[in-house]
Amino acid sequence: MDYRKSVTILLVEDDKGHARLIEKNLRRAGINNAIVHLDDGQKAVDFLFQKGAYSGNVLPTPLLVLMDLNMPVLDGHQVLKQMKENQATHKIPVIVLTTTANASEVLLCYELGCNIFIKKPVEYTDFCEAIRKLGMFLEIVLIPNGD
Amino acid sequence: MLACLPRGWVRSPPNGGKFMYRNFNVGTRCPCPCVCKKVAIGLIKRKMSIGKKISLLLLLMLAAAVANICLVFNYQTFQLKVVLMAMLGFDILVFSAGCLFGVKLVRPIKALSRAAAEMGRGEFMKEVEITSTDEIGELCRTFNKMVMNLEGFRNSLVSARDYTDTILGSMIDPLIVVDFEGTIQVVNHATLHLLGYAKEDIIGKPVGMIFKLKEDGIPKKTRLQELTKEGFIRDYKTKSGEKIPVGLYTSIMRDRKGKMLGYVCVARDMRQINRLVVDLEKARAELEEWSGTLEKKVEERTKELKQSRDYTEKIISSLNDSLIVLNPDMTIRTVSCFTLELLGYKEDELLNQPIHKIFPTPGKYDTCFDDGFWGELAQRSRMNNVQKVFQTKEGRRIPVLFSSSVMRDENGLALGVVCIARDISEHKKIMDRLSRANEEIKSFASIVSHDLRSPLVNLKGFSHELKEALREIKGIFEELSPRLADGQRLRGEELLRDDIPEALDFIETSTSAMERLISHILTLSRIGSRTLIPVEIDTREFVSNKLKIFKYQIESKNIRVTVKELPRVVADESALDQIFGNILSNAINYLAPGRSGEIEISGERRKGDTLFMIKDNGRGIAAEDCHKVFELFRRAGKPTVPGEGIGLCYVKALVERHGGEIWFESREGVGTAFYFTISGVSDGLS
Repeated sequence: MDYRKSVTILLVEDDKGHARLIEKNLRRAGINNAIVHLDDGQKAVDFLFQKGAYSGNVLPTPLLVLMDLNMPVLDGHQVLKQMKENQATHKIPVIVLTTTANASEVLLCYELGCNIFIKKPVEYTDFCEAIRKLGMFLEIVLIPNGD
Repeated sequence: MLACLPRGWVRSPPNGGKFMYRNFNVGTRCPCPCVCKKVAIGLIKRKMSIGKKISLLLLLMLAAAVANICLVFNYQTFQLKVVLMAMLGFDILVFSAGCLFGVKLVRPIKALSRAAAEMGRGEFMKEVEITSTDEIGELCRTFNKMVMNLEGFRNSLVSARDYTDTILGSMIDPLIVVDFEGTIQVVNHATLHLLGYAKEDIIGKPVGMIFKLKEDGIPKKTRLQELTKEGFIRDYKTKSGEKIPVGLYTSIMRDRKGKMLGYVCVARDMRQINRLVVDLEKARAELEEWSGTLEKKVEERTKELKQSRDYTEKIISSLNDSLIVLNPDMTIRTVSCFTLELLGYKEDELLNQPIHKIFPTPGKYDTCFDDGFWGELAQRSRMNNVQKVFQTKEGRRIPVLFSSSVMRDENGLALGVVCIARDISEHKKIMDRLSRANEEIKSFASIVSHDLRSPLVNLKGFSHELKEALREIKGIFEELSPRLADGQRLRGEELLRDDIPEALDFIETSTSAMERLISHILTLSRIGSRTLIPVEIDTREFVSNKLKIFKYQIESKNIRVTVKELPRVVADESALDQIFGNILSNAINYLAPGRSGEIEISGERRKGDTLFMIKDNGRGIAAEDCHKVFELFRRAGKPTVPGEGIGLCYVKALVERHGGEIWFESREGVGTAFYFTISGVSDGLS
């Protein structure tokens, strides 16, 4: 099995509609990888560190995180911070995908250790185009193996 | 020699005032000793020089001896006669020696008596020559010493008298000395000058020639005693008969033992005093008159002052701001009721206390209190609206707006500092709330734009998905339609062709409109935080460039644009572009139907800012719509031209960022004139 096909995509997005649209468009772009959708930051942290509802789970590897910033309970910044501070998760690539993208926000995310920052376009054709390109990008990206 | 033995001492007559001694003898053998004695005593008593007396006495002795010898010589024996002769010879020898001795003895005495006579005349310079060392020599020495002492004594007496004379001479007040008989003994120069007499005219004359004593018949002594009454006013008679009123001050003159010697009278010319008294009387009368009016005036003035003081006090007590007057040493001199209420102090707890007392202790809030500020306070004549903090008695802090001015007298000397402080606690609370609200609005704007956008993404996304699905369904439906019943087919076609696309179109246009609105809100919220870059702009060129953009519309609508004098201005170029662009586009778009458009652009530099005017003859704004003009998403009049009603709201925010104001004058159907000012570029909304 192709190594890239084994990558699990963890989609952290509080807006179910957005999540659905992202997923749809990724699929259209030919991404057939497993996508795990979580709708708040706390759940993402629990999933990543096998806590709470996810205790006892095995973290799928290799893993790629696709995350929004504005989320309830824990926002994207907090999740990013915890991930990058922890030895077990700091190597997992994180792609931030959000609607507002002012300069200070972008800077802050990169400072916290995010790997890619993508703006969610409001216009749907642009949105589709962005996700399609992301899919194409993911096709060629190499991700460290969890081992 | 036996015959010459001295018999005793005799005191010389007191004519020369000096002591001397004489010896004489009476021969025991003298047949008439009584005669001899008498002759001798008579001789001594005679007034003649001692030398002569001694010579005559010796002669007498010799004669007595010779007579004795002659008397006894007849009946004596030869031997006895020889003895007698020898005795006679001896007597002659003694006589000669006596003569010689007498001359020697008498010379110094003579010299003494001469010197004494000279001394009597007042010549003290003579000194008696000392010729022997015996008693006479001693006498001469003593005499010389006495002369010397006497001379010194006299000199001191003379100088004392001269001194007294000088005093008397330099006295301004006339002085006379009168003895008990009423005879004038001494007068000073002032008396002579006053009365016009010469000294010799007046000395030794009765005092009555100068002033009248009491009635005759009273003993003179009693009359004179009248003089000693203090401050006795009399008339002095001058030589020319003029009467001069004098105040006579008389005292009794006594010697050292207290014996009364006479009267010393000092007179004071009363004419001058009388004149003074008259003047004084006049002045007093005037003064009385004055004091009457003055009293009235003072009363009036006092009343006025009191009123004005009351008025001032009322003003101070009714002030709603805190008033504090400081002494030049920065202690509190006056404090208004409001201040006391504000700070919770009693008046006496603050008066004369250093002003520091009502300010927070330094250290914790350094900006509230610093010595530099106090220095400035005393030196700068004015200080306006400085933010400070007062501390109440309980330690509560009250933010105040502090103003001060130095109070000076007419010579410019600082009397103190008048301080006014306004409690801005409420104001500050409101300001804090306002700035918090402002922050909230800013974050609200960005949150809104984000949170509203998220659902928009879904709306757009899923409506798009629906469209795609619809397209697919259409294909499927076309394949299926021949198999459907007519009614079903027609309904299905209607739904797929009309109803569903219509619904989707509405969703799409609405979401698009909403998205635009959201982006406008975002833009507007960013105006406050955008940094403006002030540059000098040639407004004429700027406006003509701007008009080029509207060239097509201006020409097609046949609008006449007049650009008048436009001053250069310092502003943010893109902001100015948006301001002019919005107002011009409104002018161009809202023309009055059936009238060719006219637009006039002008500007003028004013004190502190620049005023611009853009005037049109368009449709104007209805009075009831005027309040909507600058509001967000509101549009005045009929929406004949597409727009969201955001332009002027945006323009207003930009003008305010430039420290300016914007307003308009408009009449419906006549036209509108927009005015705005630009005075500088501010830092932002905060």
